[in-house]
Amino acid sequence: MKILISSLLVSLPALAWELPCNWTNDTTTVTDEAGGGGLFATGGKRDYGVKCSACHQETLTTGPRGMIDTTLTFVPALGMVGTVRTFTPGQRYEVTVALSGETLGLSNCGAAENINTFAATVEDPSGATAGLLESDTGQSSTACLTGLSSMNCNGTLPATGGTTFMAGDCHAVAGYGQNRTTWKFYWTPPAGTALTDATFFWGAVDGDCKMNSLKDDVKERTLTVRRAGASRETAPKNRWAGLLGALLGAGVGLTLVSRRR
Amino acid sequence: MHSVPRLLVVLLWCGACTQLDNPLLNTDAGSGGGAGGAGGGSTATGGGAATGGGGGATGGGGGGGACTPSWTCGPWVPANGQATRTCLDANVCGVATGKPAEGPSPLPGLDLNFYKCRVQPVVDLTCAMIGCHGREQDRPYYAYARARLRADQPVCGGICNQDCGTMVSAQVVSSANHHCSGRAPLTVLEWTRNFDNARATLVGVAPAESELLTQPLAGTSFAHAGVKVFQDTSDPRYQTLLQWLSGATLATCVTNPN
Repeated sequence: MKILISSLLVSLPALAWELPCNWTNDTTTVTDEAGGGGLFATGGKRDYGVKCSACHQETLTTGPRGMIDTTLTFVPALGMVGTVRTFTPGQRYEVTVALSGETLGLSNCGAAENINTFAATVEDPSGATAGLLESDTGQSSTACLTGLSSMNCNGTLPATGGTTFMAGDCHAVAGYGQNRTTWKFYWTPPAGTALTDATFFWGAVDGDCKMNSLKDDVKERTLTVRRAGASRETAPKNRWAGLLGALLGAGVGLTLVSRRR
Repeated sequence: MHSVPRLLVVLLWCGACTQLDNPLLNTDAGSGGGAGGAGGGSTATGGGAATGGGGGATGGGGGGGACTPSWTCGPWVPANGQATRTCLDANVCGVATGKPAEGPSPLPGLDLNFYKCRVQPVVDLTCAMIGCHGREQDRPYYAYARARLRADQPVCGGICNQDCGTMVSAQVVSSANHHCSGRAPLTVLEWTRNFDNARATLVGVAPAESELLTQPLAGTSFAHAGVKVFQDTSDPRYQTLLQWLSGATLATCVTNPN
């Protein structure tokens, strides 16, 4: 009986982190939680190159690693020069993250918390945020949720109806909510010629209901895009991204898949 | 006087945190051996007193002209306040010429309070992920952390420790878990191992040469490919670790009150 009560008191999430504060809670000293300390594990420089799979482990031999995939769809669609995807300076892009191939957390999750998630950032070559990153719940790379702590994030949660949030030092956007396989955020590269290349770093997790970060499925990707009209037309680092994107382009936007890091 | 290892030892190997199958033995072939006159005249570059005064990973020596030892040393392994390591001669010369020190060497007398309140937060944030240094197996350097790797110690078996009818391994039920027992404060055993694992990186080298600093600063070497924690030595986290390795102390440290 005691076990049952405890089970009801503590939800049974299919981790990844299920709340914004999980990402930002202190790693050591906070009373209630041991969180990510602001590390979003996108694989970008701001995350020290750490990716989702740094914690979502034990899938190489025992889990369904590699069943999922993720794509970014830009509206309006990115341009293309040769094999290089290009952006228009000052253009606000709606970016949809889509997770496909989910196999975990579809049943037996108790309180129906099938929590998948993603985290993404976009950096210039120095590692600084390239342009303006925005969630669909009102935060941005210049103003985001701060002061989150405790298990319930102090009641400071993103607006209902949205799918993403930004918190901590505002360098990344991450998914929010249950039973999701798509999330939306916005990216606006700076006007003018200050930015030439920008790289999206992102990863997604298919959680498995087990209350920990083990045996989840993970996918991590990068995509480098170039300012339209940039003088150098040689391909950026992941030149095959554009080619693959072209092959997979569909729908209103252009779906992009870059090579796996 | 400290000797400088010619190649970084693969001690704090992270391998982008996902490559789990790489061997972890240091592969630094000793190059200090000379041509080897009669009796082997050259000196080892990494050799040192058994008390740990100069324990670099490199070493070598003459071998009578026919066989020159090529020493490969494993990481310093802490136990009971001391550290030992094993060095093997790849050429199997059968002589100890130029063999680097294997210890036991006393662990450096660093400050536990400073470690708990200044160093561990850095380790938690940037090192202790389950796929990185949050693994006891195949990681010469590992660290326990809340919601990540926990030690194999008996804890109550129920959800959130409510059911003490069965004792189970904290490592099994709590590792990688930011709920319930996974977020419980570190135990004395966990603090001790974390502290010893970290200070073992200082055996035989100067503070700035500890791989606790060199690996996350390099970021591009085999050991830390893809994971660069410190952009440069001005990084506050780097400076914090350097201070601790250089002997900084804290009078008190109050960690998680839970």
